[in-house]
Amino acid sequence: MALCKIDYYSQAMQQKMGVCVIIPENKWGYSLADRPADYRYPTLWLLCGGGFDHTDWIRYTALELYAAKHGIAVVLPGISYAGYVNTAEGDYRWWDQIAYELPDYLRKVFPLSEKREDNFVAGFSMGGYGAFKFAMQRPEMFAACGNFSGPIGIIPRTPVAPNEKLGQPCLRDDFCEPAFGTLWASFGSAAKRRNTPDDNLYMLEQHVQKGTDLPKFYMAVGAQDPGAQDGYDVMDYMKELGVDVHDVRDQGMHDWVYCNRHIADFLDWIPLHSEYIMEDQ
Amino acid sequence: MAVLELNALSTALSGSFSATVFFPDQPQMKEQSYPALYFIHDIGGDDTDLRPLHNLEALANELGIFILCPSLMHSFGMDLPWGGKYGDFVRREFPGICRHMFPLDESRQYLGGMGAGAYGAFWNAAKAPEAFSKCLLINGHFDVASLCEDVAKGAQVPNLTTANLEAVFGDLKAVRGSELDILRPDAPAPKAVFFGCEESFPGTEVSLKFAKQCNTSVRMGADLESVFDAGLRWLCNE
Repeated sequence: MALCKIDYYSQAMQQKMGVCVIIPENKWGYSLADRPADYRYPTLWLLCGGGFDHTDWIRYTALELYAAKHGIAVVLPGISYAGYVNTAEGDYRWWDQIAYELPDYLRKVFPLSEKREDNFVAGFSMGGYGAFKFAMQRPEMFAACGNFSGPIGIIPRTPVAPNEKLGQPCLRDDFCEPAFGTLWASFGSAAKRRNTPDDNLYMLEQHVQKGTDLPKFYMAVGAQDPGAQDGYDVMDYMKELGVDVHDVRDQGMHDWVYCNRHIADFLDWIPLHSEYIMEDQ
Repeated sequence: MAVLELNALSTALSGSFSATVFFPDQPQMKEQSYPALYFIHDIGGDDTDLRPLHNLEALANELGIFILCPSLMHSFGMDLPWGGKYGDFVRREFPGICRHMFPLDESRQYLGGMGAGAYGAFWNAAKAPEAFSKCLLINGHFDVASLCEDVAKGAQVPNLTTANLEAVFGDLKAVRGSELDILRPDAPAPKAVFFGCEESFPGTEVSLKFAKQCNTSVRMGADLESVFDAGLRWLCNE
C-alpha cells in the first residue's frame, strides 16, 4: 500500500511532528501511476488512543489492507497522552494541530476529497473521545463518526467529589495514577472544561437543541471493556436525544484486537463511494 | 522543513519500493501545483541519501519544489535485463505515481542524480526530453566505459561487483562508444544540464570535460550543501 510517514514542522505545536497518510492501492500488479492525477480520495481521519502515536494503527491492525479494500485514504495523527485538547499545562496545542492544521495542510499535499460525504472520523479509546469531539466541533466536515471504546463523556456532566477530577468514576478509584499525569496536565480540572467545546456531551446537547445536521455515529464498546457501562450509558443518552447511532455492544476488551475488528466493521458500515477499490487477489 | 518516507507498489519493479520526499511546509503551500525534481542516488546509497543535507528542506521550502528520491538498488536508474525496469520506473512510473499522490506540475519535471545516479539522470533525461526539461548532475560519475573496463580487468570498486555492473551494462568491454557511453561525441543530451561538483570531488576533471562537450560549465561548491543550493536555484529560477 502507499504509506507516507511524514515529518513536518507544525505551526500549531511549534515543533516537528509526525503524521502518517495511507493512499489506497490495488492488489500487487497495479500502479498508482495508472490512476488520474486529479482524483480525490474519500478520507478517514483516524485517531489513536492515549499513549500512542501516528504509527500505531498501522503497526497493530490490518488498516492498510482495509483501506485498499474500500479505496479510502487514511490520515493518522499521533497524540501521546495529551487527550486531544490544547493542554492546560505546557501550552501544547495538539487539538489545533489535529483538527485544523492537518486538514488544511494535508489536503494541499495529498489528493484528499474535501466533500463532506467523503470524510469520516474515528478513533480508539482516547482517540474515540477525540473523534467524537472532531465531529462535534466540525460537524460540517464529516458524514460519519466512529468510536471504538472511547470515553466520550470523560468530562463529568456534574461535579465529582472530591476534587472535580476528570475521568469515569466507575472505572476504579485510582484513575489518577502517575501514568496518567500527562493526561491530567492536558485537561486540567473538569470544572475548567465542563460546558466548553471540549465537553462532548455538552456539545451534543447544544447541537441537538440547534438542530445541527450531525454525522451518523458508530459506537462500539466491548462488554469486557472497563468503560463498557459508561459507553452504553452514552449510547442510550444519544438515542434519548434522537441522535442517529449504530449501537454495537459485543464481546471484547479495551485492546487492538477489538480495534482491528471494529475498524474493519466501521469501514464496511460507512456510506462510502470510491472509484478505486481493491480487486480480488 | 517537511520530509516523508513513502512505500508503494510498482509494476516496473514488480513490487514495493521506498522513496524519500522533501516538500514545502504548510505556509509555503500556496500554489495549485509545484515543480518536481526526481533524484537518483549514488551506487551503494538509497532514497535516504539526501537527508543529511542540512539545507535541503529549507531549500524545498524557499523554492517551493518537491524533491523525490526513490531507492534504486545498484541499477544506476537503468533497466535490468532480468527484471527491475528501473529506467522505465525513473522516466515514467515513479513520476506518474508521484503526480497522482502530490500536486506536481507535469510541465516542470526535472531529473537529477548524484555520483552514478548522475549518469542515470543524464541518460534517462536524454531519452525522455518530453518528460524532463532540465537535468541536475552532482558529483557525477559519467565515464562508465572506463569503469566497466577497469572492473573487467579486476579492479575493485566500492559498493559494486562485476555482476552488478554486467546487469546494467552487459559486456563490460563493449560499453565504450556504445549507446550506453554518454561521453561519446554524438550521444544525445538532455535539454538543459547543470553540472555541480564539490571542491573535494575527485572526478571533477571528467565533469569539466563533459560539461564543455554539453556547451556548459561546472559550478564548484565548497560542500554538497552549496552545490545543491546552486543547482536547485538553477532549476527553479534560471
